[in-house]
Amino acid sequence: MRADPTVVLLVEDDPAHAEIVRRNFEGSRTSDRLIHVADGQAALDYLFRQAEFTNPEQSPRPDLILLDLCLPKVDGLEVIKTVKSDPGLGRIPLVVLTASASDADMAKAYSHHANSVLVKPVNFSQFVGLLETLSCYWLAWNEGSH
Amino acid sequence: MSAKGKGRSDPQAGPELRRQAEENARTDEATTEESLSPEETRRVLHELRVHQIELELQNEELRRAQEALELSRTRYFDLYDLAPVGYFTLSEEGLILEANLTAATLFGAVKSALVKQPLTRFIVHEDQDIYYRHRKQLFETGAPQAFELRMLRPNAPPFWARLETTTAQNGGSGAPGCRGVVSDITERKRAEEELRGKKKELEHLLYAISHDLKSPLVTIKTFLGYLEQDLARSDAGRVEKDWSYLRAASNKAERSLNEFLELSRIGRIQNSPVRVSFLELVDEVLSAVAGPIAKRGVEVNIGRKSVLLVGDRPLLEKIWQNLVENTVKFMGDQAAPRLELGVERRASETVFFVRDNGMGIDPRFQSRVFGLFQKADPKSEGMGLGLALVERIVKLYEGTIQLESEGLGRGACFRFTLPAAVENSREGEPS
Repeated sequence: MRADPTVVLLVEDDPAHAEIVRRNFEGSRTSDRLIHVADGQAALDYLFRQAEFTNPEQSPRPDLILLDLCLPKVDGLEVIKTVKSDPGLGRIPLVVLTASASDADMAKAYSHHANSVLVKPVNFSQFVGLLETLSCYWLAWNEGSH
Repeated sequence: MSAKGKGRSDPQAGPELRRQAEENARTDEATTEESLSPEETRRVLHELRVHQIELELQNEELRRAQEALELSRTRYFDLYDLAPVGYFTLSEEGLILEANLTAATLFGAVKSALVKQPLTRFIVHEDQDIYYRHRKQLFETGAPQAFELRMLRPNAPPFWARLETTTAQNGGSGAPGCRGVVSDITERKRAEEELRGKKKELEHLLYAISHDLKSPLVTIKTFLGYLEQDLARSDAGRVEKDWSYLRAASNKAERSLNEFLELSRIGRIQNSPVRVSFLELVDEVLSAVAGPIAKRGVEVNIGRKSVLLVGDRPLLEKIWQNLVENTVKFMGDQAAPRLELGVERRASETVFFVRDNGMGIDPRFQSRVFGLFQKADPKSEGMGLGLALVERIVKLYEGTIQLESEGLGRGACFRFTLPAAVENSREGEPS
């Protein structure tokens, strides 16, 4: 479908949840590269090419950002706000993927222009199905993410 | 004394009146005495006696009326002026016509100085609209109004007041106006504020509990699915990995539950207070965490100064235990890790400190370290409740805690006070 490799940035502090996402993207043909960072500050460093991510070769622009809300150092809402107010990064689809979010946090995520908020289901096939649909929708079907 | 005898209210008027009466009587007697027959004299004398008795009775009645008046004035003062709420009467234009002593005290003014003052003079600028809105409603609908706003008094911060107003016909003129009651509700407002804070914290905690228990559950359910697939495929390598994620998630759920239980115990002190010296307490804590200290090769220095503490001993120990554990965990790649514990007098306060030369913390994240579930390092164990726990215990003993660090790699120092636990700052010092 596309010539360019597809890159997904996953911001997730729970290693098990990161592994679940990794296994799903591994098996699908929608993404070529999954980059995982474990806290909000590392996500911002990656996106703004700061600290350990200054080399552009090492930090290709993602086609999709998957973000947990409960994050160490800089929390997820702060990451959304910063990313979405940046003219260059703001257009990258950003999907919140959280174990559970309070109504207030969900409202805040959307008001900071998150593209979607998804709650991780407590069910194997549902979680796997959700991740498949998610990658299909945002990486294959959705236009304008490039 | 030139005014003597002129003014009716002059207290000296009594004897003067008496003198004049006697003079009049003398001239009267002089003209009438010789012309009266003995019979007539007796009659006049009788008349005079009756008159005198009449006057005496009248006088007695006046005295009683005076007493009753005095009594009702005292009652009025007692009921109106000394009432536990402020009363005031306003003209249609909003000027104070009358106010009781309680209202005057509330507004920090003498009673007489309140008269003819607009009530708005005592209302905080930003809250004037509240007053105008209710005044308008009162005169338009006649329905009693009740509202809360901030009021002013000289040389003091604004106070929260509750006002209740009704319409009234003022005095004999029958001009429309209003009567009002005012009371100081600052304390209630403060308690409400505190309650709101507690409610918010509780909601946050409840949300965090659901999040932190759901998260391992998602892992367990999903990896059980993977395990099933991998077993069917006889992929031994993946099965082993699945097991390890399952184990880690169930451990995490257990740890979360334990931490929550521990957190919920704080606030209701369970053990009866005991007296223990700071040095003894620290000694016990250090032997409890000797394992991790030795493993990381941390050199521990304890100050010589001590103080006596009175409180729930296991709870107090938790403070140092968590801080020491936290310190050991964040020593970073320090080749000669050092930890220093002590107590010192700063200004008039007894300040405890736990200082290290470890990895320190970025000033940007320092304000978040005491929050619930704020982990500085995503790879570290636990849910990030340790420092939140410490802060709660410190607060329970009416103290404060600060983290000082010049930044990453520059070490860190926790300083805290425990005013409600430090017995007497001079006792327990080495002599």
